Amino acid sequence: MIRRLASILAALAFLVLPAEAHRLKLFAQVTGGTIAGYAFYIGGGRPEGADILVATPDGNEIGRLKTGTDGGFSFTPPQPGRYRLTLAAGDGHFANLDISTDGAPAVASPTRAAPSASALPGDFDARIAQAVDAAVARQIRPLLEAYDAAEGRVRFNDLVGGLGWIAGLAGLWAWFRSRRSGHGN
Amino acid sequence: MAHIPDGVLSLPVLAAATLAGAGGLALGVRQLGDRDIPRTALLAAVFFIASSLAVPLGPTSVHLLLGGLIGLMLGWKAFPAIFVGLLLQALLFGFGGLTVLGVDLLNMALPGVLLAMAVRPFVRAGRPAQAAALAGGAGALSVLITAGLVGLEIALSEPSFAPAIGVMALAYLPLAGIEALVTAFVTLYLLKVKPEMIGASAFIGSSP
Repeated sequence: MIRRLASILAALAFLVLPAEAHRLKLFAQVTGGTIAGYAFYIGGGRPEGADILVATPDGNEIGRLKTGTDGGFSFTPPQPGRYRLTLAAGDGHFANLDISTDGAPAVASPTRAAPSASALPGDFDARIAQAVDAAVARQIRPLLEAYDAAEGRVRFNDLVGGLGWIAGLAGLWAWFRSRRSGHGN
Repeated sequence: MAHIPDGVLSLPVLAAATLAGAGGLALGVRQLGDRDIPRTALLAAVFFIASSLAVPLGPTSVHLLLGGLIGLMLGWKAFPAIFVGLLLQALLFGFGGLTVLGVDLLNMALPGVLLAMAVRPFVRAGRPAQAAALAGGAGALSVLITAGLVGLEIALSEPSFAPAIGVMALAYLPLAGIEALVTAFVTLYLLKVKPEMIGASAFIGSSP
């Protein structure tokens, strides 16, 4: 009895440990038409030298890149639009991310950012918009990162819910068997 | 680690592996007698918990698979047990895709079932050291075969995404070691407490 109690306690202690999902994810943000971000495992670790495939939503390949140290990457697509990033970490893990670079109005194209040094009024507006975009992106970045990391975490509630499902399925199966063979009456 | 997401495998690979997985599942369900239900459900729960929780290890994180242990304790009935665990993981956590469920099932269940079949005749209550060593070896080898199957399926579907052998080995070798230890210790414990759980003395138990 004591031994059984101890093993149950040990199992519970294991459950109380920080439960991390083991999943590869991509984090990316668009600033001024450039997609930049990094790849990470929820639970720790960032894949280095992993392949990233950039494609349009209908599957045309735009480019390929590799993650650098700390899993980071950055890429400027030829024109603003929607893109799909696929990451292959090299150990059988994959992650997908859909991202749009045309959400930012007027200033998104990097080719227009270069000559904007001239002080025309229209350009001035564009520069302000660009600066605001960059500032907002910088401010909400930690928020987005925290959300991404929290999204894939294994929650204790979900684990216990899964155990409940298994117990229920076992009961259901046993009930079917008992109806069919007629014993238990 | 071994959960393949949707949309990675090509159709022929997907179809062949799903068929094989479904075959194993059917075989397991057919063997599932009334008295096997609690044990199968228990191991489904063990698999579900063990392979949901990852522990950080160096640059990455690993989770147990326990294919060898489950194969040793359940035989072909490992297929239904692991299927339930995988289904819940896909629905609750988004581990692996729903369309590749059969493939994941094949990858994680088949190595353990076959290896356990090979070592079971030598797992005896009278020789615990030999039994634990064999069970541990089966546990470690089943992890490596699972990794090999995942790599093979990806390589056949999308050669440019084929996992690098070196990275794979680095990622899976520590896990194989941990798995061997866990399987060996559980086997030792069960041999002392309830040897019929791993089929070590089926002739002493209820069957003739």
